[in-house]
Amino acid sequence: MKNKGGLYNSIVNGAFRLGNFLVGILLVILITASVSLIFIRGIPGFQTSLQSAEIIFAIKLSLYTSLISTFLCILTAIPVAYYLARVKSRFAFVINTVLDIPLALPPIVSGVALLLLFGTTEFGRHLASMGLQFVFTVKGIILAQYFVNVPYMVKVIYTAFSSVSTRMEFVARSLGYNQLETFIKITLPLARHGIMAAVIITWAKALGEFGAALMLAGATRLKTETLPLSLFLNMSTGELNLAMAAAAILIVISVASLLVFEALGSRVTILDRGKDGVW
Amino acid sequence: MVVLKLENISKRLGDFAINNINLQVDRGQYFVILGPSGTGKTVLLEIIAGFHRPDQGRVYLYDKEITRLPPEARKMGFVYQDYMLFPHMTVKDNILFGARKCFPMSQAMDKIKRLVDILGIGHLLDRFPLTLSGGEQQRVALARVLIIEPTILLLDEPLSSLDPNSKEALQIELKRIHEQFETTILHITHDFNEATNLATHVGVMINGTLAQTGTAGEVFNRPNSLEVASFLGIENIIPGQYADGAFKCSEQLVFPVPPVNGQDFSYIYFSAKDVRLGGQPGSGSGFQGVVTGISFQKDYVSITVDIGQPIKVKLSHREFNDSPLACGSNIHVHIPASSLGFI
Repeated sequence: MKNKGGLYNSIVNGAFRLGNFLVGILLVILITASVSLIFIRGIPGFQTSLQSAEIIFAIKLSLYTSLISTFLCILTAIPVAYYLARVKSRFAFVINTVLDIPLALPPIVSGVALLLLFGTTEFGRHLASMGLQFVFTVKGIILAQYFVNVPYMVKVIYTAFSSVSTRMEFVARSLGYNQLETFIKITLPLARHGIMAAVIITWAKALGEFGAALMLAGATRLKTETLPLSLFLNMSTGELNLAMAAAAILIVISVASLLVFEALGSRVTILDRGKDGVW
Repeated sequence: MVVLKLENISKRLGDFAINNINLQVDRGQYFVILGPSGTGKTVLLEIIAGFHRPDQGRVYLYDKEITRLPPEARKMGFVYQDYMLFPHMTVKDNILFGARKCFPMSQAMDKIKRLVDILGIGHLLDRFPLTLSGGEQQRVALARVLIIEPTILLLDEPLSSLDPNSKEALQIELKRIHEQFETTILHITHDFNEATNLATHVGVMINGTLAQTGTAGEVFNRPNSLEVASFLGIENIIPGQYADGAFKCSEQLVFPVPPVNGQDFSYIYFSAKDVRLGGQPGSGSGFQGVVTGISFQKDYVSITVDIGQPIKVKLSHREFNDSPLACGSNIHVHIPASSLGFI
């Protein structure tokens, strides 16, 4: 191609950079305008909404279910993530691929899948007879949150474990520590930032979980009404003040946890750089 | 007494493969395995420590087979090139990490005191590893394994990431540790200087196999294969064969040496530093040659002389300056019989 000279290229370069910048500005305006509107509309009725029995119930139920499901996620994600980070077998590959399925599915489809398994099979009826009734119950919300979030948590913790050198573990073992002791004394402490980040992002996602919970646990006022379900119910019945309050709480929690996640994430990358980083 | 014995060890791990390694390390030896990078030396050391199980072969520690024994039961000290100190613990906790498992606390405290004195790291005990220099980190890593009084000390390129000054200081330190603690050491490296400086015994590892083992003198002076000779940097390796009581490389280039056992050698070799230029012929082989190249290095001058075959000769800068050598000079070349080797 013919070179059109310095001035022409400078103009093209400048326009290109300006264009990229302007598109960024447009996105920022779109996001902040829509999100801040919730606060602007919600603020007048915020205080009364926060005192309404329904919102208080939703906050409590959301905290209760999200904390339990996050805890269950930690219990299962840590061993699975460590297995995947250390074993490179065909079976590990299979686990990894299966874990990707719920990540790729829309949560509402996951909810249908859970509903079929626990609502229509002998297995589900058997569990229900033992007191583990998941369909249209609070336990169903916990299960839905768990199902949607656990693969994601495995991925984040997997990254944290992978960044711990196996040779560091080898050294600990040659100094007399067995695999479990090495895991507790070396691997877990070194992966702690990644694990904390995973816990926070999982908890925030559990608080906001809607689709799968709606399918499995239903949307019953003051029974399975978490914050996102409260938002949905109140929007559909025109109780805008309550809906805005629920939305505002969800936004604050999401943004705050995202910031914490990013902060922890940057610490993890500093550690990855090894010597240059400050512990 | 045999401390460590390897019998026909083979292992394939990713891109690395080691084949049929046999090795014996006796008590008190400083055994250096020398080999180019990427030849599987680290994998071999990790098999000895129990981090990997060999595909074939057996490992013995004090005559007891330990091939399937987990690493935590072997009591070997392992030091990596990049130290692998635990970044979330102070220097003191790093050093006490293994000691806690081996000794009661009071005894461990006595030991740490003595060790940090010897290694000169007493002032670092409350620091965190990532704030230390490379040399300091390596001393801490040594203290951490020495404190458990290991059956054998396994060092994986322990000096490679250090700057030249720390490297020299730590070599002296390692020598001292070897004498003072009477530790048996197996050290792997690609650096000749480490081997010549530290080793009582040497193994040369090439392409995943141990090509030659023996005392340092044996291996360095009498390599037994073409690979080992060229890896050890022997400059002059010339093909030829025995005929009529002499080693013939070509019609003009004949080394009149007495036949050596076997005789079916196909190469003669000698080191560039052993060749003498000028002077009178003594015992050995004398040739007339022409200087065809001179190259100035930091520590020596390398001269190429054509004696019917280009050979390399090393002179010190002083020797070179005192001689009238220039390109095209005709010169008498003398190669002492004692410096000739055959493969």
